[in-house]
Amino acid sequence: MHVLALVTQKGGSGKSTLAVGLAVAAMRDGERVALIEADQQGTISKWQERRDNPYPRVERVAEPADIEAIIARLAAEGIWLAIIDTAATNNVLAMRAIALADLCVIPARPSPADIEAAIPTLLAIRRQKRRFAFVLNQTPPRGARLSEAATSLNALGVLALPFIGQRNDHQDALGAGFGVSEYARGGKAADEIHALWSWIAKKLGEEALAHGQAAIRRAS
Amino acid sequence: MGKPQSGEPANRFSSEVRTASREENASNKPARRPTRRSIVDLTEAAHRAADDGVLPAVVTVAPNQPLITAGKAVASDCADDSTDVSRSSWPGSSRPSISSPTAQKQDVDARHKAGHDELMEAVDQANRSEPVARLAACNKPDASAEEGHPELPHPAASGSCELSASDSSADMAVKIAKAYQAETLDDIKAGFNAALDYAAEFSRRGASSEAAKVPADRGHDRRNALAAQYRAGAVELMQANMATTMDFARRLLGAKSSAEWVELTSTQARLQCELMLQQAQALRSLARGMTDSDAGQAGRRGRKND
Repeated sequence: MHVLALVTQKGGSGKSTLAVGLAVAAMRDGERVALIEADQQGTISKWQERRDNPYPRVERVAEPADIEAIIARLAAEGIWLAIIDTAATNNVLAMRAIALADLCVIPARPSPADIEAAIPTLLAIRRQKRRFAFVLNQTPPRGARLSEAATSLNALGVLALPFIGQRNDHQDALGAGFGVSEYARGGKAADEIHALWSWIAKKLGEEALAHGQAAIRRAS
Repeated sequence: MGKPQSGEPANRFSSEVRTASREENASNKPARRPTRRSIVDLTEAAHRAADDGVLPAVVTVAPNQPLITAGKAVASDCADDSTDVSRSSWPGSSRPSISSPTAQKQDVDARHKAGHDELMEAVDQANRSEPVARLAACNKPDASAEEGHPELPHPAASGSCELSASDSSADMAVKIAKAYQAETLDDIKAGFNAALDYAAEFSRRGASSEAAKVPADRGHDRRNALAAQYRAGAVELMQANMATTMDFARRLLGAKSSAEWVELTSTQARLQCELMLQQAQALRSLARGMTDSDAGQAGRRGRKND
């Protein structure tokens, strides 16, 4: 099982919306997905209440010690991907999520505040030697701010492609209890999320392959 | 109702207010809004903080609690190692970029041994802060001159990674991919030249040692054998280098999307890096062999003198 954590201490950067969008996109690709909500705000739980489809599963976690048990249980149940949505703070729960993640995704809007706020999270990820990628989220179609933010984030680490544009479909889908790829099929927002999911899936697959190769080498 | 019977007093009042307000605005309001500062400039301090790893406001996981991910043990002690901070977004990778399933990496396991791969770490350390410098050079072409760095801006930085305000997201993605590509091609060139230099140097040494017709004692034989062994290895590495370069060029021509470019260039970068590492290992073993041979010879001479 792969563990993907969406982390940044900046509120409003789109962690929960991305988590939901990615989970549904992965599900539509035929994967067994679960969402782990490590944010007391409860955005994902409320989204699930508005949703008719019981999948993807949503697990709530409040205690840092519980998160490992939940992940182990999900793995035992055959879940292929667990997406952890963390709170907008560098608390112990978020750090635990980082420690357990195969890939940490740091969403940031094209603003100095978002990029600055990503730094403590970035340092925490580096200290725990996790893999990470930035996602430029809620972007305008073009402009100086976008290019500057892309330059800045690209200098800090891997910048996932494509950027996720500022589109109403994301908020409307969340409000209606859908993933954006269910809500507006064929729309630009759905296409971007699906492309981002494909990018992440590739990275996760490579990580698993590398892990397997390392294990084989160790065994031999 | 509530409306003035005659518009005259009200109009007079409002016109007075408007005049007063206009005067007030004229005296207090700045002529134009302050100039917007670039996000790159504004986040420069944050970049420095990230490079130095100085922000203390992070919580670490308790070291005595074992972590389990999908049945696999996680090295929890890495959370304690606050001084050993990997700058790569892909720990274990030579470049903070994307790996490829076709690449045969030395050790890329982020959970068990991440950051402990000395060779990869050494390469990472050598490349440290390079991406920041290159990307900063996009916006400040004279930045390196101001800071007194002797090296010229990287060709990739001066050319293809200049993201402009008029670009769409897709354009920027393509430019970022092209920047990777330019960097990688430079790396290939450097790696290839280094391989050729090594091979030429060892061929020269081998030829000169044979020409000198040194008395065929055991030490010299062993050295010659080692040099010959290295030469054979170097030729193999060069062949592999050529093969990967040709394959890369072929695939690059067939690449249709920016994502493909990124994948191809990063794969090529990793393969080149691995070849260079193999070459370094071969050199190291050669040096070790030479040292052992010299030490053995000195020992034998010492015993003979006794």
